[in-house]
Amino acid sequence: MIELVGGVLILLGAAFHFSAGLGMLRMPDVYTRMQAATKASTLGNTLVLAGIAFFHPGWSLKLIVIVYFVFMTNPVSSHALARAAHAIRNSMGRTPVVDALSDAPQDRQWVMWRILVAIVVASFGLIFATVAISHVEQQSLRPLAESYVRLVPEALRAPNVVTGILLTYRAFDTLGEVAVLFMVAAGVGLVLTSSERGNDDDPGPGRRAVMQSSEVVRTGAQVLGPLTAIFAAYIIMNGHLSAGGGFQGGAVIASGIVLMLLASPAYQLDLEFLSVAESAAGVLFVVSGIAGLLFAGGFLDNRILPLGDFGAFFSAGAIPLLSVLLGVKVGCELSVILDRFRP
Amino acid sequence: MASNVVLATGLALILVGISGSLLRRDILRIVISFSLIGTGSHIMIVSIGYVKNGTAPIVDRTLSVADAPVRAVDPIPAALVVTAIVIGMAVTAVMLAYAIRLYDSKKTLSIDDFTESKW
Repeated sequence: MIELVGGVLILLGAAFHFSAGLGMLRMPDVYTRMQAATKASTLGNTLVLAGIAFFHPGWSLKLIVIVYFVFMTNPVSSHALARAAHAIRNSMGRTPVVDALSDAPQDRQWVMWRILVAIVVASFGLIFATVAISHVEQQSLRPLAESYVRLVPEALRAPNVVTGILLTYRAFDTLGEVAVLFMVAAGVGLVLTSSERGNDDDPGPGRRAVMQSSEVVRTGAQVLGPLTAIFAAYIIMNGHLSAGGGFQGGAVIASGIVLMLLASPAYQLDLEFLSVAESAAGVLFVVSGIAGLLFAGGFLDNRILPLGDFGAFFSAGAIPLLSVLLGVKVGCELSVILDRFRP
Repeated sequence: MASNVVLATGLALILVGISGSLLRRDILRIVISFSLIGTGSHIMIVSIGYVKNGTAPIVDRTLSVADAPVRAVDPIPAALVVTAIVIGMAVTAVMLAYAIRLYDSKKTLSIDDFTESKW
């Protein structure tokens, strides 16, 4: 009985193989021949091997592995052959309805793509609409948030709860994010290595001779440069007292540097100094974290420095110090990244 | 009610970003669309933390220490979004670096011309 099923499967497989051979003989051009050969023979192979499994059950695992290999290799290789045939401009038997690999723009494809995008955006929109409608405003804080809002002014003596979270309770995430920034700076430096880019003969956008910037930009930079520096320092130092902190101040530093780069295009940033400053800030950040382990409650605990009076400038333990280190690191990193983009 | 409006704005921005990244052909516009998706999600996350009639979680003249647990908004989404904004900027920098190298190789910014991997 089992052998009957196996025999029927092998016969079906042979029939598909026969149709593959017939297709190779009768199809008009190389693409349709390839389609007939691949599809029918893959299925024929699978059926024959399945039929053999009924005669020799002990070989089932081996046969499954062979079927898997056939499924992986047959379609992929015929796809590559078809693309190669199209690339050397093999002719098609009749004018095709849709030629997906042709270089000419296809009107039907344009419409189909737009319809597909509309469907995708509409379905996202539906999901988002249910989220937006079912959102209920909180009446009071959730337990974790309430404990943070209570603990930061009390235990850390920092008026700004967000900075207290970022630089003590979740300071490990901040350290991880600093690591991500460093990785990005290294990655951008790798992708935009100027020695490789200088070898092109054709000047690209902005690789003409260095343009002199306009007087408006230069004067604006002269006025705004010192203001931006003071503003950045203020934001960083007052991170624990009012809105601000290391990241925000670092971004303002980088925007000041961008202004200077725009105003004097021939200005060369001292990249060595920036790299040393950035690495030193990062190392000191980790050192103060370890000092927290040794002298206070745990890694990056802020109680290594005296907590001071609530709301005073020198208060909240190590949070101002960590803010400064973070601001220096982020500012230098963003400046180095921005400098890579210059021609 | 206010946070529903802000939430809807953030989600609308994400939708605009998704459709822009799928429909645009210029690489720089696709990068801008991704940046829009990021901004929309930041707005959405911050709006979830709003408490009815709440104020910023910073203790100063307008918010005393005793009042803070009752009247402050949720500080955790704000802290997460600060990190997310900086990382979003860093990812945009990497995308722009790739756009520059793509332009260097083919002298065109239209993704229709990059057909080596087209199937």
